Amino acid sequence: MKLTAETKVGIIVFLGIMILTYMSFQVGEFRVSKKTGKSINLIFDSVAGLSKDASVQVAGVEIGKVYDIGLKEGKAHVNVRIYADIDIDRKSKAYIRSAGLLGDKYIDIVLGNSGDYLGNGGTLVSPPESEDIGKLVGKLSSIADDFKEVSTALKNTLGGAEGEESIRRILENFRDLGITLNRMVDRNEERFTHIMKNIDELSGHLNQTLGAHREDIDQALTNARTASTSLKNIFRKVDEGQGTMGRLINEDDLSENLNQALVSANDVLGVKKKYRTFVSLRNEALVEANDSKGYISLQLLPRKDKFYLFELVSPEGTKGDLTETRTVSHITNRGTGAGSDFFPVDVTQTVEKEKTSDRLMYTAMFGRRFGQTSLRLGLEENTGGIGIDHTFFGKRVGLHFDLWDFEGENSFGGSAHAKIRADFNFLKYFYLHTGYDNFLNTEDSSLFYGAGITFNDEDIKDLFSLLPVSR
Amino acid sequence: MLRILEILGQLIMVFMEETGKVILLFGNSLRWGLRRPFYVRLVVRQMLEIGVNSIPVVLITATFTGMVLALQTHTGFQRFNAESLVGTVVALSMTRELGPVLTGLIVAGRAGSAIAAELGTMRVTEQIDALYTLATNPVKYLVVPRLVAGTLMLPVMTVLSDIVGIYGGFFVSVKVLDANRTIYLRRTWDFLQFSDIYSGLVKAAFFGLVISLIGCYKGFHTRGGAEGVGRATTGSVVVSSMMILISDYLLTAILF
Repeated sequence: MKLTAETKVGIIVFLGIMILTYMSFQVGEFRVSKKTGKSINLIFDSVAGLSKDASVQVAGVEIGKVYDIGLKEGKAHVNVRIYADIDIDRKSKAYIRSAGLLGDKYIDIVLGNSGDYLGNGGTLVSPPESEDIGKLVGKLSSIADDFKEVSTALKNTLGGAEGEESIRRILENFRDLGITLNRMVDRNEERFTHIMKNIDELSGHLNQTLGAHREDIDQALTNARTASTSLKNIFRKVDEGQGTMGRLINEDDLSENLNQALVSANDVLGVKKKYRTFVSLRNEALVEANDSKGYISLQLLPRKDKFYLFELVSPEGTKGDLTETRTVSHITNRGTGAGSDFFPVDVTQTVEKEKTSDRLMYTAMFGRRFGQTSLRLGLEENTGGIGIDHTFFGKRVGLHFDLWDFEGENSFGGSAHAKIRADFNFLKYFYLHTGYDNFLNTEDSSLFYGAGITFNDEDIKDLFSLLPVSR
Repeated sequence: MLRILEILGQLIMVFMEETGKVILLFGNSLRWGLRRPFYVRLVVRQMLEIGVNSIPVVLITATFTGMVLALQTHTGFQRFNAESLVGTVVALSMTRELGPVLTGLIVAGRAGSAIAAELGTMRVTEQIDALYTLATNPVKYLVVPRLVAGTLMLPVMTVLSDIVGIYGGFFVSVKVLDANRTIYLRRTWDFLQFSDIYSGLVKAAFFGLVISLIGCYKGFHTRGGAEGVGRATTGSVVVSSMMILISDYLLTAILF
């Protein structure tokens, strides 16, 4: 059969209209405007991101669509149409959730079981807070920020040519130090023996202290182990890609994107904290008092002009306890007659007095620096104290003056404990010092000398880079 | 210097004159088109010529456009994990933009040139003058059916190319790129609004009118024998293609 022109045109036009009709039924808009289904009102505190025609789901199955969103008395009223054949319990809870990271919002209804159902036009008030992906992503990114910071710091410490260079440098330094030490030891063998003995004693005290708190330490270690076990579990899960974090870390694309976002965020914030730390160990041999003291000190510098000083001081008085003899007069009424009765009798009494107690002393001070000079204030050897420091010749020589124990409780003369000390940094990590201790109390005052080592966080970092790290 | 200005002025004058003539032709067709008798048979004939006969080439173009669109957007969207939105992009581009414009361009090349050639030949062989002697208005007899046919058929063909393009993209995504067919279709239709389709159809109707109007104008004003017919044909394709692209932008910017 030959098709006429009219037929051909008719077929095509009809086809076009059919397709247009099909498309118009397929597109979302037409389906929304169908007013079929049960109408239910949901009241939320916030419907941020929810749009008309968003899906309403129960257990992940779509049962309806959002028909209208309005505002009444400061709350969001959402009218939804339920077209599935389902009854909504009055005790049901509605949440706004996001599908995927791109944030398609939908309403999730968790059905209740009171047996009392909402009719057409019923109202359901949602619980006040709903955990949504927006908040979760916010939290995650702040966590990831922290991770990032830590890992960047580690990478900077351990990786690359810079790391190698610092390893080489520290090895050289160690060699130099070794040579110098050897020479020094040769020359001052006796003195070093003395110093070493002192340090030995200090560590003995430390051991004692630790021993006394054995149980606490054990407990702390047990806790730490438990914590590390659970951490390990978490990381294993993350590694296997379980949970949101796991997927985040294991899906390369996603983590790449996140990484880029974080890098730019980091650039913007410019989080670069310069928190410097100095750790030092020193020893003082008190010549006249025939005594010695050991110090472990930690100095934190959050800013250039501000620092905190913490010190553990080994006790004095471990050598040569002081014995004091006192004469006390008693009046007794024993005996009779002028010669013997009511005669004052001198009784000699021996009182042993230990110079100090056998416990470690603590120093915790706050300091402000003004150029080469700094002032300290706080707790010094368990009592209130102040101090002033000054450095010369590019910090190679330091002069320190300390005044504490104003009541003189721990010293014999009853005056405050004053101490002046000069130190000389002749090597990067090594210094010698000398001074006069407790010079306000002549009885206890003493010249002292000693040596110490000091290192800062950079050195600790360098030490870290000595550890074998698989890259 | 003066000479350049003179040429420039002349060009502008010619352009204005041509524009005026086109508008006048359109006015005349409107005037005559609304009067009896209506040549329904001629309209149907032109619908066949302009529309139905162009359908195979329009469909092939639309299919491959949809396919390549899916391929390209997939490449781009893959970079930020939005592959699921390929369907949306293909559907939106086809209905709003590529369906009407590509159909218009192809019809301009195929049918617009044919109109110009046919009318041009009639003009140089003095058949149009002969129509006057038969007391038949050539505008009513020749131009009006073509304008009506073009305006009516272009939207129909656009609908066809829309659907073919969308399913071409669907085919590539699902069969070649391994997309989830349900999600693809859902993304295609969920984000598409009826206004997207309808705005494409309005554009298409306008393009149809422009193509046949320019074809008729070029043919009607042919001068200089066979060579003139050739020039008219080329001119009609160039001018109507340009008009389609320019008016496409303007219509999109102003109306939708």
